Amino acid sequence: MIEFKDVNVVYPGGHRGLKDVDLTIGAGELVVVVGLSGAGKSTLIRAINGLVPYTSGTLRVGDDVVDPRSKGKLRALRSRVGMVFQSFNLVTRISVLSNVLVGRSSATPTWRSLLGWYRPEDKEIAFQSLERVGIVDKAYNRASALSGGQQQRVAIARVLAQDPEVILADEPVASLDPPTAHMVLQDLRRINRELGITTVINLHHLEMARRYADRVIGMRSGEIVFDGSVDEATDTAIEEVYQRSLTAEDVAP
Amino acid sequence: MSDKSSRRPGEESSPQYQNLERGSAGSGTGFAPDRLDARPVKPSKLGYNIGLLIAGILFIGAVSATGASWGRLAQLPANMVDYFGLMARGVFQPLTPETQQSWLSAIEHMLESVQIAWVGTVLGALFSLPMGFLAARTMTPLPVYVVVRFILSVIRAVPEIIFAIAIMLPIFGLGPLAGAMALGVSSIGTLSKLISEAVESVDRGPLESARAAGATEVQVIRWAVLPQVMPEVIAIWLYRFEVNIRASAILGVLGAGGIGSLLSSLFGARAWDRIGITILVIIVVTIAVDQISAWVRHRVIHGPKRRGSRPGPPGADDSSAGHDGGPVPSTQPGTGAGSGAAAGAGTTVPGASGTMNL
Amino acid sequence: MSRAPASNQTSASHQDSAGEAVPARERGDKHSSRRPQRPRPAGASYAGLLLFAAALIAFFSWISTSNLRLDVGVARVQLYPAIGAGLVLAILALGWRLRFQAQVVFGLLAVLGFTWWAGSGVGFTLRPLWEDFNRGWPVIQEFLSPNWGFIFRVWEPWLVTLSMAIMATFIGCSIGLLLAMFASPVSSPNTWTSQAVKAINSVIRSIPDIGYGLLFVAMLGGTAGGAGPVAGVLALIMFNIGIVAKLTGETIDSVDRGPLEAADATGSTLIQRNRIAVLPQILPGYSSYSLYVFELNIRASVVLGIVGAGGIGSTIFVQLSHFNYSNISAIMIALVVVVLIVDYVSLSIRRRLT
Repeated sequence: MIEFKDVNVVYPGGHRGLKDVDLTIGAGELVVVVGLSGAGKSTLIRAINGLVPYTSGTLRVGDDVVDPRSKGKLRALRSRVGMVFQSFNLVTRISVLSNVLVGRSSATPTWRSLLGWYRPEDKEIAFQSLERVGIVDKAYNRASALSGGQQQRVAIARVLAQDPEVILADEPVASLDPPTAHMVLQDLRRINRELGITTVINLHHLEMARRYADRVIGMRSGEIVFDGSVDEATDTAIEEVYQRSLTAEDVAP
Repeated sequence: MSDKSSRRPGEESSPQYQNLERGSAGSGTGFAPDRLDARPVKPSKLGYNIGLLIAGILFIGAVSATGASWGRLAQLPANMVDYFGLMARGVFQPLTPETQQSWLSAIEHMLESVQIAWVGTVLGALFSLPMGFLAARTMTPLPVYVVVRFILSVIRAVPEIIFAIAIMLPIFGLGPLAGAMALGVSSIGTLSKLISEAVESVDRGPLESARAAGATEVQVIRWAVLPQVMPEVIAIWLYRFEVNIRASAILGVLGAGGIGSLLSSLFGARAWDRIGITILVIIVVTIAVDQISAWVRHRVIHGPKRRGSRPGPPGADDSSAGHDGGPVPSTQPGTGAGSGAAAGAGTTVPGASGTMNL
Repeated sequence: MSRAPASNQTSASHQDSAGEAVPARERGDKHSSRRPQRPRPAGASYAGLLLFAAALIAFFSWISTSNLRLDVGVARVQLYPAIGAGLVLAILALGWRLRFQAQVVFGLLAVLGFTWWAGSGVGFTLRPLWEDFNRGWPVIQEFLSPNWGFIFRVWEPWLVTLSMAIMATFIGCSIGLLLAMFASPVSSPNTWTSQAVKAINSVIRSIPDIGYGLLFVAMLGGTAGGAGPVAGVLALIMFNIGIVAKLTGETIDSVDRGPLEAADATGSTLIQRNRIAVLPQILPGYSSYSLYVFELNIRASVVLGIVGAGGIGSTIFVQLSHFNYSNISAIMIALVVVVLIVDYVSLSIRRRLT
């Protein structure tokens, strides 16, 4: 489904975000990427939808090669790849429903977006997405009136409204408290199971990674240093990834 | 928001899921559809639509109420091409002693406008600093505050051309001085208001500590307030200077000197070649003054050295680390360049932004 | 309020300046055995300052004798160069005594020089205030006794003025929003477009409203031909575009980028992204600028009327040419009242918006 072949990312400042990454993620997998800050987790995820352009190698999503230079192709790709952000990235001044409809924009003609006249089918999809994450009753509330966990679920609904093949989640729970974080991850897990959407999640906490992942990938300074099932991701294996012994904070949220 | 809930067709097909919102409430074990799962009723957009309607009526009413002959607009494009052609010919004609005179006269009148604006700004600035303090709620007793605020809002409501016609032209006679005086008086209004807002938004900590140390009111202002507000005050003054340059053109039409006088006499004579030259001079000088003023403002607020923002890799992992909340924006003390009273003192500017209504 | 950042921000200034102001406090300071002297400005920079000061004094004495102006020929008032020289020396001495940085002293001297130049060009003097006050007094007296009956006789031009202001606000603010979208690097298609639109906008902004008024009146014909208000509205539109595009562009610059990134990640086009993620964020600021511009328009339409663009300004101009100062006074009182009302209404609308 997602295939990295010798992918490198070099930032304009010369910093190497990814070094010769080779990775294949199968359809319907739920992959969690772990690693310390600055290990390249975000870069890995953002390379997939072209938010960070990769500089060499080949990166495929499905049958299509990600081409960071072509805006049109990137848009087409991004309509199939949804993304959830750490800071939710909702437009806080408009309603929850309008935020979810943002996910329909690639399927909506520009003039409809300009006037805000979405097709009834699109609204129906938006409502169903909200129902799937369980906050349809807030549809007409302002996004700013929602709690952090609710906002993140709206963001997931926005992604679902895209009807994506892949969901990328960049630290989706880092700004949430542990109980809420578990709920959001449960949502992502359930969506992965029910709809068979390939899901890639960056996580900080090992415990959560073990609980929700099919497969764990460990990164260190732009390289993949661990790739295995949850059972293989033992404390010793992860200590190897982190290059230090685990602290209580690493394991439990 | 909505008590009544309406189910929509097609909702039956929605998948079963555990409603997480209810999770902690513990209202049931299984899936039981209730109000939280129902789609809310679309809120009424009546107010919004009425607002749009009023706006539309206002606009159409305005179009018809002017009683103007809008048919004239049809001629505009052709006229514009003609006249711009004449103006361009004026600008690009070869330099003869006569055309040289046109250029010199345009430059000279524009410089006179700059002079008028500067004198007006300086006059306004001199009065606005004390007035600004008197109009700040945090610095003065209530009666003084109310009176000063009222005076200021009256001054702001009166357009500068009224000061010119009613007071300054009769006393100072036709000429640039009357214009400068009118600009000075009308500058006091906006300048003082903006300065008072800057004073009110000052960080209270130093004030409290100075008062606690037994400082007099003057000492508090000198050592706790001025150092904080001075950069912003200077920025406000410079903004007003830019505004005054444009305003001085208006007064010129009334005979108060500057570029406005020249423009109105040229338009009276319909000397399009010289009009072209004059407009070009206006554009160049105004943009130059704006640029210089923006540079000084930036320097006064941010200090002489430009703060080099460290260019981290975009979207690097560091920014999304949960436990260390990103780089804290540090307020580097400016070196007090250009701020006489706050010389050498560390200065921070509360909310000095470019969007200042003048 | 949080005290931690408070003390953090200004402690530097405090320690700095308190040492100067209250030397007695220094005796109490025990934590450092060697007190650093606040450095005097470097000798070289101060020598430069002296040079600059000498040049200024020379400029002052030259400007008082030479004919700086080329052909305007208005009699200039003598500014006494000795006073200017005294001020220069005072600034230098003060700067040395208080140990200002050389740049600060330079800034003060530059301001003094520029003011001197401007003052001599304008012919600055306060003498008319007491010498010619009697000349102006009759006019002011007429202003103080307004012809109240006149206020309600001119409601028609008032309606025209208000209509002009409303139309120009609608059209000018719409175009201004569009330009702002292209001008801000956040929302424009590429940096080239953004730079070009910014340049165009600063040209638009540099021509004063009265310039546009004269231009459009000359092109379309003035009040006589019934085209006055048309010209006035066009002039106001240009005036509004400049202000709204600048202020809104700056607001767009400071918008939260998160939603933009999210819109990008769903595959929106640029227009969709700006509509969905940028517009809702700038809407409060934009509406308040639009109301502000409406206030400005009422004031500006007075001026535009004077050059023949219709509305209440034309009435003022007619009365001015007949020296009917008490009538003008009545109009102006009405104008102040209208401006205050509009001010109040737009303030309350703005409060509700934010």
